[in-house]
Amino acid sequence: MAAEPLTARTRTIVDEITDMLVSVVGEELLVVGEIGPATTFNDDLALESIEFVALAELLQERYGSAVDFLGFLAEKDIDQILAMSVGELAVHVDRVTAGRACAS
Amino acid sequence: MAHTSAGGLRLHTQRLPGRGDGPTVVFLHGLVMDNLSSFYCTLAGPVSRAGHPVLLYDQRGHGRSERPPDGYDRDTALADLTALLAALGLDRRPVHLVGNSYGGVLALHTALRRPDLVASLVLIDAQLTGDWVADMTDTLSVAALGLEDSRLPEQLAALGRRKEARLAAGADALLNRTTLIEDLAAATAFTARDFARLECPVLAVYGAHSELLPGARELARTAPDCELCVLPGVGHTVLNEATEGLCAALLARLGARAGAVAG
Repeated sequence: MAAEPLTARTRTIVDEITDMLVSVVGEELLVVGEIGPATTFNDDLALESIEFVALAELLQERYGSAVDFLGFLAEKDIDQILAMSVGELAVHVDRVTAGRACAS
Repeated sequence: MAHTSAGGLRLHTQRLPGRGDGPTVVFLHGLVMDNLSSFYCTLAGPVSRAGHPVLLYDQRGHGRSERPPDGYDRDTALADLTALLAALGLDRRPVHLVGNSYGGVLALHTALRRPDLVASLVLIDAQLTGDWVADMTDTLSVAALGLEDSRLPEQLAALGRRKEARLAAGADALLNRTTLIEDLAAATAFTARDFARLECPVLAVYGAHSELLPGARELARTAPDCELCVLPGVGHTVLNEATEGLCAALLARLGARAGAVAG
């Protein structure tokens, strides 16, 4: 499990990322087992870079331009990003979109 | 999802915005194990942030694009590119083509066949002269046999090496169930006569230890406008292992050309 308890909003984002992953990779992804906050993109899901690009596009469609994969890539390389867990990505998405959620 | 129908083929595309109305920078990835993510994760962001609109796409059979059984020759690749540019409304002015490895072969082929489409070329350790067609065909044929005979994808999957298993399965499908290898074998290397016909400026970025460097030196000698940039301490894998130097050379080139147009 992730180190810190997730907020309700972050748990919702985890669920949405899970659905996006299945739509990007296909149902075969579910063979791996249940996807949760602690599931890592590289070690657990064997996600390829090109699939993360597709996931990033879906995240941006859903959450807007604040979810900026290219900006993320300016700070971390793709191997560091793929080493993340679903929960860590959800926390990131929650953080960069928090202002928008408050404003709405 | 970012798929574009180009000449009836579904191609996975990613576009990044620029500023102003400069020419689009189109990235062409390498063969078989490559796809647009190698450019997306390295040069695409910096080029877009520098103000140049970017188009990335997976070549037929690669990445998340459709994998038809045939059409892996250069002329069909050129037809795919022109259909894609037309579908996206990017065919009204020339584009910058940036090709890595075999993507550079396609970029150069495009500049020779359709000079009207190409504002400039950037070739990253691309195969140009010599025996590379035979060498590459041999290498891919050996890989194809290995994938077919050893049932490698199944074995890797059984070992829990799922990422490798999926990569091997993709390579197996491309090498053993399409005409890619025979299409490639029918190609010929470029010659000094080809280079002399190039109408657009060329930037060639090669690794100091690359065995492809002699071809680049011939290109630099014979093309009307070619700058050769040799990066130290790297061989063929310039894009991944000398990203910073490559990016600086590319941005300097694009910036200088944009400035020249503006002035």
